[in-house]
Amino acid sequence: MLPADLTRSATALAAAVRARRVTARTAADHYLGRIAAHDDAVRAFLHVDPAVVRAQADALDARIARGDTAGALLGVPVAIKDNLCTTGQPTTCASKILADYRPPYDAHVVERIRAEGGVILGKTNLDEFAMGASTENSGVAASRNPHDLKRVPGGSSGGSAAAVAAGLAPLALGSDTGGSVRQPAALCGIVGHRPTYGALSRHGLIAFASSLDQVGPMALNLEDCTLLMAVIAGHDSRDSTSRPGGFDAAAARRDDALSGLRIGVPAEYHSDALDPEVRAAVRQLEDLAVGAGARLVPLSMPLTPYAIPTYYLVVTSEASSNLARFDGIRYGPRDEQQELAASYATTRRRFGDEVKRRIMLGTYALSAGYYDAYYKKALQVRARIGEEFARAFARCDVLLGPTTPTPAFPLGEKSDDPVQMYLCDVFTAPAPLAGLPALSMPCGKSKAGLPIGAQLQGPTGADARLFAVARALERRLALDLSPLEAPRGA
Amino acid sequence: MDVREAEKIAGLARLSLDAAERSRFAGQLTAILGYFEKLREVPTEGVAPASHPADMRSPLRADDPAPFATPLELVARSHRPEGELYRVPRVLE
Repeated sequence: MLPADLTRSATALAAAVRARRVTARTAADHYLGRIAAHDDAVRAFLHVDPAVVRAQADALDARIARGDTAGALLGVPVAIKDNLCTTGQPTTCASKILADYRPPYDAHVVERIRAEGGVILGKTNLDEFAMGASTENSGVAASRNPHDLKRVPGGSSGGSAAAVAAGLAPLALGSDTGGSVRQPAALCGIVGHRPTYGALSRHGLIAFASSLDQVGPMALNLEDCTLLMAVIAGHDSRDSTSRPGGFDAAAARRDDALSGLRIGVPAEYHSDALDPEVRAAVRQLEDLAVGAGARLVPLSMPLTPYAIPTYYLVVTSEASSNLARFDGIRYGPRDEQQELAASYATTRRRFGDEVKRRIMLGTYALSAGYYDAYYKKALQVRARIGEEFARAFARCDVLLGPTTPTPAFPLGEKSDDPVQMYLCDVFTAPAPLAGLPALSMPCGKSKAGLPIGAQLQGPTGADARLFAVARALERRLALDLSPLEAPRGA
Repeated sequence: MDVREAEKIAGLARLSLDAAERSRFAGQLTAILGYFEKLREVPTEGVAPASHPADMRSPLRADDPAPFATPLELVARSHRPEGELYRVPRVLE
């Protein structure tokens, strides 16, 4: 077992391994033990191979014994969302169409984690192909929120969020297309960041909607999230959208970020539909910021409610194209028929309902006669949403609001109503449409003990600013950010 | 979207739906498309469509060929590899 202080901080764990206070193997065994004890209840992981994990840890310990203690993540296990390619472990997107698929290469972000001494702990559950907000669309099983096992952890990176919150992994990677890092981070009470579009490489991230997809770090606290972001960010020539330049970790750790900060507060983020407890927690955060020298700038962003239909038209159109590659020829199992077209159609029966719905919606929106009314219209509204953000950031440095309209909802509550599920993304869908960075941080709990998340959004490239602001708020909030000892509400 | 239209769209998308799926999806997609109609409220005349984030510019680099390191390993992971090729069912009648 690891000492408690090392389970609260991946940063402290890496330092302890470097100082030879604990071995990488001890850390790996601690988290493998936690998974064995609690993941039957949480169902955060799709694949964990203890032998593969221990072999990575032992190789690190051998290197450390030779005096080589390089690596920002030395000995720290990291859980990886199962739409990121990993060697040595399956990569399935929680889809039967990729059952048991084993990629021959690591995603860029996974390469970076290994290069910095991190241990790939296992692959986490998601809504199939990252399409959902609860993990209930997983082709395997729904994950549970460790704060209340009868509730969803959010999605689509729900497995990663639940794993970190339940102390089954100190760090995790998710992916965020319309909120899939931030929303589960908020519902599970952890930190999750969606980087500026292009801030890190998507090489090895299985594509869902290419103009929106981003990989994002998830952690218990801002310092740990900064540590992971600094490792995975940066240019990679294998992703043509990857921007030059890296992540300014020193700026992310600045401690005077609130002084003189202009915080935009759009009225639309506090509509009547917002849960009162969420509203109160976000208002309290505003007060803290003002107390530390920030200034609130009231704004109106009237296109906010139009982001969801815009987002869902863009995302389904791109998905219908990206998922055309899954036809049984190059990846995954094939349900072979005598003729090619029949073979495609039979194999693609393996997709779950939400994936089929989205492929059909996208095919419809792109089809002759509907293209202008749906897809082109959505791209025009997308342009206007980008302009609205630009006007807002001319008047403020960051935007602050809730990450989600409510705390975690009960399993099954929205699973039969796609439109209700889509509305979960009301606050998280706008930033991806404009390519902007956005971060969710814990800002309190409901009376029922469910975590509440606040979202900070910034202009293009302002990732480090968001980290610094969130870090200053985190310190003033002084919440208990320890992982849960055991999942609750069984 | 009626059941016939759902079947047509599924065909275009290479999806094979049974009768129950066609009926369920036709109803659900009709509800979702109805919700999308909300976008008509936003004036967009003369607005250039944004297929990417607003200030997205593709970074350029020299056009140096960089072959994928392990192409045969990719092929080997397919359902029916044959050397460097994929064996597929017949395409033409």
